[in-house]
Amino acid sequence: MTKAQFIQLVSSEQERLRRFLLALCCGNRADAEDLAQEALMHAYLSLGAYHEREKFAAWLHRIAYNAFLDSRRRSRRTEPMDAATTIAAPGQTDDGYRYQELHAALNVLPEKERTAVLLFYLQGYAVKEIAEIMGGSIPAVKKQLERGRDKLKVTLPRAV
Amino acid sequence: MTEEYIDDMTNQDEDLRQLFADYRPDLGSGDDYMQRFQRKLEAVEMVRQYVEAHQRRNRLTVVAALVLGVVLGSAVMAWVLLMPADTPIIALGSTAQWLVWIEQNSRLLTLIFLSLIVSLGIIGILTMRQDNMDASRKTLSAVHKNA
Repeated sequence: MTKAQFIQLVSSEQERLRRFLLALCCGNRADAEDLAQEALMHAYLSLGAYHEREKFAAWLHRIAYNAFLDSRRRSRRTEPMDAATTIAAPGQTDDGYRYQELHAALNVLPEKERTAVLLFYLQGYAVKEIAEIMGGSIPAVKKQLERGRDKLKVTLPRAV
Repeated sequence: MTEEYIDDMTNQDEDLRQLFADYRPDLGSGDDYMQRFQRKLEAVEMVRQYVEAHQRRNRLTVVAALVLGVVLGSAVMAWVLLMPADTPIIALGSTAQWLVWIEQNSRLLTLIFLSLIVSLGIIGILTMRQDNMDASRKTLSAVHKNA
């Protein structure tokens, strides 16, 4: 893949990826933007490992998910759910307040369940694709989806 | 599972799908984002080219040193082995016992010394190669994190 082709693909995928990462980071824009940048740069530097037969978007999501896990391992900060519902994240706009409840509900989910739920409901990936992105098995992903859905049912009773 | 449970799960599924379908946070201008991204990509590309050029120069230096070492080392070793067995490599002209011993075993000691030099050279080449790979990895990683 040439650099020009890569830029064109990124241009068509960046909004979807950034939306996914914003939800994955529970509304923390700074973290989401850092992760998006890290994932895209990593993708560019790993173009040699990309196989044309693989879907570019799914490959990008896999890199982004791994970048997310790495950042979590490095991070020592924890944000309790109460803080997520009451304190505005840096650079939060009215938009952030609009989705505050959803972000707080996502924050309750463990990272794998949150990722599975977002890849399924937000990004529209099938269970098999999610298993490939997360590097897990299909039964494990189904379990994570089920648990994530049940927890969201409790934390978002009005929406679900 | 009762039919009611299955219906309930399906409805919840639809509710969740709709909830996330309505998730449209403001991410700013896509064009602005791509312009910033491409600028960062240029910076990463510049560093990558610099690192590759640096590695190419190092490789040439290492190959030249290797060739020179092989040629000189072979020449010295051939000279040592071709000298008559009863002629010492070094003549110290001393009567001290340890110096006489060195003189008598100078051929063997020279060969051992040459082998040590070759071993150190190989270790040096491998270490330099590993350092180069680590340096280029760390440099590129730092650039795309800070760009």
